[in-house]
Amino acid sequence: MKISFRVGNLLVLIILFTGIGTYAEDKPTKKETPEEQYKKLVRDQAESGGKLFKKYREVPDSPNKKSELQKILKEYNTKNNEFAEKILQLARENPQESFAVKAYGSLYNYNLTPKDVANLQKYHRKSKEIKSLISEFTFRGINTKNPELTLALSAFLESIVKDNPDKQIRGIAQFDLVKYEVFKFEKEPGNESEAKKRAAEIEKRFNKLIEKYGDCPSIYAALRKGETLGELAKRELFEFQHLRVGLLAPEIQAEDIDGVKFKLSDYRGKVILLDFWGDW
Amino acid sequence: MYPHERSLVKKYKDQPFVIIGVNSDRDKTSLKERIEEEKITWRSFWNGPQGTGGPISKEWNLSGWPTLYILDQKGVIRYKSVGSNEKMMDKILTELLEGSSKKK
Repeated sequence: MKISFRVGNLLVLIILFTGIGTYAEDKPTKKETPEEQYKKLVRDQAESGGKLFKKYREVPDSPNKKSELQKILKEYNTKNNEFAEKILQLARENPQESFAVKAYGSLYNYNLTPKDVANLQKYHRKSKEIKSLISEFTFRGINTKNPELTLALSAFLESIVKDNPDKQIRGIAQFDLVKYEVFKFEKEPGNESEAKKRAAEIEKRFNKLIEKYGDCPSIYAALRKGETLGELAKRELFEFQHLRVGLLAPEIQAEDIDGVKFKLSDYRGKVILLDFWGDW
Repeated sequence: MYPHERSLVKKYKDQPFVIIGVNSDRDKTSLKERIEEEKITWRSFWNGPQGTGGPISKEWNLSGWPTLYILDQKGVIRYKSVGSNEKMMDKILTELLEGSSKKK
């Protein structure tokens, strides 16, 4: 006992000593924390982009102007991608850090892996930071052709609904989950009776969401005059019930630009490209 | 937008295909000039003096302009998109128009 105690003390001393030694030695060139590295990368990325933007705007008129501009654009993309790669790597090496959420959110050009999403679920499902990220993720997930990624994203959203302390964030995640169902349904509705059942199920989920989270601000609240999740979900539900792919289009009966009345169904029998446009 | 649509009108001039617009300009006089200039030959419903806040777009739940729908010969919605995705639209139109002419 006595001996081992002494050995223990000695060890502590050695550790302390070397500890201090390293500290003193490293202080002038102290290693940056991952978060500091991340901040620096973001700063450098913005600075490099800004410089090239300035260069782009200052290209003088000449017969080569177009190719000059393209060259700068290409350089911009290359540089930007280099930074993005580094940021992604840093996030992957430090998935538990809070900056990883921001980093993943900024990398909209990159295909995330199911592992990335699993890490976000593991470390950040309870965080408030993910608010800005989840709908963006869902949009990407909906468009992906990678079923594993879709699964991982669904699981991530479900874990948020279960564990996040913020009601609005839970509501947004729930909304995104219903959107997933709509997307899957529109892609493959199945046979008639199956489709009917699934559509009813989706409508039920929309209504449940409206009931439970209707008063929370939607993700577009700032853009759309304080829109609530209830309002957004009602719009989406209406869209699903009346305007989804596979349904008969609603009739339009109105005047044309010259004031002549006509109906959309006047053109039944033809394929119609219906274009909501304006020349404003 | 206009060039692509003009090209579709030309490409499918002998097919059962039509472009129908829902126009959201408030001022019809200047709009008519623009229609002339851009050689817009297709017909449009007018969304009324409220412009983008008019009744048709409201009924169709529009979340952005332009929004495009493709309806098949029976009036069933086969495609929709907020914003124009010319490649995707071409694909769907080919399926609907060239598929139907091959069948019989």
